[in-house]
Amino acid sequence: MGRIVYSAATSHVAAIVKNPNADPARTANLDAAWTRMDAEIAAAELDAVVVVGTDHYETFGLDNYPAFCLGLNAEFDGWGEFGAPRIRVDGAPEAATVLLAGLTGAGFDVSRSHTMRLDHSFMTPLVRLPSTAATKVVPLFVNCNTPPLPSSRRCFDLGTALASAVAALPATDRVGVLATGGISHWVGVPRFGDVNEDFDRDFLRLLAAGRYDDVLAWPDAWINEHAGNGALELRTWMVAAGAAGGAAADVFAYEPMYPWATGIGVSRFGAAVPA
Amino acid sequence: MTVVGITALARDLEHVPGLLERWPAERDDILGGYPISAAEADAIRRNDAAWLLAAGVNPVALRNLFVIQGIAHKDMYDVRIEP
Repeated sequence: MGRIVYSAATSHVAAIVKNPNADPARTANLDAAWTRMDAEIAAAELDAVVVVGTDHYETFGLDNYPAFCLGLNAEFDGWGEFGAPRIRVDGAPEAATVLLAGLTGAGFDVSRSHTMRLDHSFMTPLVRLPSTAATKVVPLFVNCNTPPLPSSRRCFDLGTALASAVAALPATDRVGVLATGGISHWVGVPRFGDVNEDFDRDFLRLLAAGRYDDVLAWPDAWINEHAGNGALELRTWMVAAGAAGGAAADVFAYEPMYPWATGIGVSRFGAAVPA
Repeated sequence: MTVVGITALARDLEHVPGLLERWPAERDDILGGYPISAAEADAIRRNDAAWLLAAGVNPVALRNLFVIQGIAHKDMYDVRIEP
């Protein structure tokens, strides 16, 4: 019987790997957090990791734009868009098929792709956390930028259902969840480059207190106004939080990274389950 | 449906082999291959990000359209060519 033994979240801006030393006074703190997370993921001895990310009109277009989509490929290639990381990682199609059935049975009509490619929302964390890339990957796309979006509550509940679906895995028994996105940032709009440190710190403080209901009550319009359209990606974090049973977060690091035009957060939800 | 056409154009400029290379010299012909109105095509030619955003183009797709043309994300609202 499978179980989720590690659940975490990180921001995913490609500058993390394209321009890693943009602000050494701040990136040192982030690097320490990612190094810690990578070591924990390695120690967790995962059989598969569900990476919960979005897409920036690389994989999906308006010809067909799902709310949720699970990747069932045997391998996943990155797009390498605009200098983003372009690597190939192994998939876990058998496990993904079981998860798809479990989520659908739980009332989440998740799309599936057998030919999914991945943009920087997946590839940046996979490169920055190489222990994740060394694990078999099941990408879970969440629509975070093309309204109407699945609600944050729906995403949290999807995480809860994911934990139940993992229990049906017959052989792949140690599963991780890694959410990617946020925190405050503005994409393709005149306010690009700004960061709302107050919003970011409030968000992380609520996660650390396990006060998910407070976060789930935030309307998207309010998030968009105060933290930018990029902060709508925080619904991926809600998937990971739900998968961890709503356990309080251990916030490893936060930095307002103006050179990267985003607030960067690195957190684990609940405790890591030792191998 | 013009927003759909602009979004498709941005994606194709990234991913259709050879299209980006043809874009500077054959822009009008390429624009004619998409369901894009005359006003929207004019806004694309003039790099008018504010107009396109107001017209409903998703800001992520809009960012892609500008960056693939070599215009930095931070500059996309500062490069409008006046009529």
